[in-house]
Amino acid sequence: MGIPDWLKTVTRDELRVVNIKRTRERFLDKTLRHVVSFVEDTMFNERTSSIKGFLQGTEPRIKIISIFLFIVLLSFQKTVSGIVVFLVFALLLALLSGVLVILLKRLMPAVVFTMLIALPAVLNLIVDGEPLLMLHEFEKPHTFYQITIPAQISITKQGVLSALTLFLRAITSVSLVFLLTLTTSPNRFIKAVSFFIPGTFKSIASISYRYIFFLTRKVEEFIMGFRARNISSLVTRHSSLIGQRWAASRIGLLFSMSIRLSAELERAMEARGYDYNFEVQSERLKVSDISRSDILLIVFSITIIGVMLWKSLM
Amino acid sequence: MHIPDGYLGPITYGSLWAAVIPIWIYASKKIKKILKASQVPLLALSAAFSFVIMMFNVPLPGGTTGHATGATLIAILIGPWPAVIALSITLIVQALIFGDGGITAIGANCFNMGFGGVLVGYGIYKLISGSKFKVQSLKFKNSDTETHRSSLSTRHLIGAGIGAYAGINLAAFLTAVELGIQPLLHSGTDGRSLYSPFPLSITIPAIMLEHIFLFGIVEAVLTVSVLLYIKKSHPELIRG
Repeated sequence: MGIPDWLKTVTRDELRVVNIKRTRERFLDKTLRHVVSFVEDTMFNERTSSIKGFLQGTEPRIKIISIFLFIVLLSFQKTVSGIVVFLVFALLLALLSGVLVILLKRLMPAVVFTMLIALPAVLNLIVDGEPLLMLHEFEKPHTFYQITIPAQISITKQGVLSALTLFLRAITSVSLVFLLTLTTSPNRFIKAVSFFIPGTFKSIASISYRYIFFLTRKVEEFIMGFRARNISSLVTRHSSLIGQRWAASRIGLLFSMSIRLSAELERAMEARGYDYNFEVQSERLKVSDISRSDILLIVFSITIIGVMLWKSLM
Repeated sequence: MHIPDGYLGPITYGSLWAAVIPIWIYASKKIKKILKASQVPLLALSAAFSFVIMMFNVPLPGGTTGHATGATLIAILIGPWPAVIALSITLIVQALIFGDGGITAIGANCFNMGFGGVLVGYGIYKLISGSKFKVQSLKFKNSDTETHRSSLSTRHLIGAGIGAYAGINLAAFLTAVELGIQPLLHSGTDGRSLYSPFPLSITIPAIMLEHIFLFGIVEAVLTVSVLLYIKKSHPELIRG
């Protein structure tokens, strides 16, 4: 038995419904993706930070200072070879910490994104210089707005070097940050960072970090609730308006929740005897806290700094 | 709009760190005047709230979606200086824990979004709404004991929308300028760029077009819609 003709015809109304539904799903999906990746990353970092590896065994404060120092030193590097030294060093640290494969996987989106941004710089439209490869030739140069398109479009040596420098620098910096988060549990990380933050900020940052999870969980529940209530709902022409109203009402509700929670927290803290000048106390770094891995990391750091300083003086 | 590590040279990111530290000191002094220490949880929750706002994607007619920073919205809800601190904390947590924005670029990102975006957005809101630019006490009315009448008029809402649009666009413009001056500040002896290689003639249109036509609209729509919702459902949360 064949398919009846009426089933084969697609009316304009049906097409509109499909498109609008997809639009509605897209904004929900994107929001949900943000929420899920946030929770996943945090849980994943918790797991990788408990692997027995080199960086996992180091004192978080020493690790933070060393990695930040590397990132700053990296920003002063002017040659591709200088940047590659840091990249190799970051990968070596990842290998010693047992997170090399995980780091490479997590780096992939950043690699693609940075490559897409850096790639146009190889052309003489962005960075002029010695032509390496001619791509196209016009009769005469053209000017649009303030951008001049030369008669010959080519890939230049300076352009390739500029793109490569940007790409390697950005990827190496991201690798170092990921290395830090992959090898330190989020709670220890916040505690260690608090060591460097003054007074009230310490308290604000540590409370704030905890409640980000609570509010994120609420966002997830909002999305699930919206989906559950709208499975067979009539999709209208104004679906983007519905979406905007939904997002606005949920954000408004989150704000009201935040205010209520902060009042409850304030009362709870008062009941537990916190006075008006309370501060989250950071533990002092004692000599007994420093392990062999820490000494090795400090030696590594001093060596790298020494080599870089020596190189820049030569 | 978050600038990652590696795109700005030491002169630029160093200057922006130097610019943002006095702003943080000034903002915390201002907050101490209006905020009792017992209200630290309020500021902490506001920072968490601003983190979560950035997760929301908002649909626009035509099928596109975008997300907002919520800078002007937070400034209207909790005041401009608490908003500077709340947004800065959010941006720092994003950079340190989630690699969203660079560590060397924390100063730049906090200056652009956490300071420029907030103060311009809030300033325009105050200018259009006609109310005096003064920092009010960070206190909300008690919903159990008072009868509320929202003070948000249409003029306030228009001010909020235009302020939000202008705030995010200013932040985007600052980002475009900071990236676009890199080839002028840092070039190798052989003519290659050491950091972001794109000149101002490329960074300004590339960043501004999407903010003028997409993200600015999202920011304005979201700010006005959230205020409308709060006016209708939680009027006790509107300060003053």
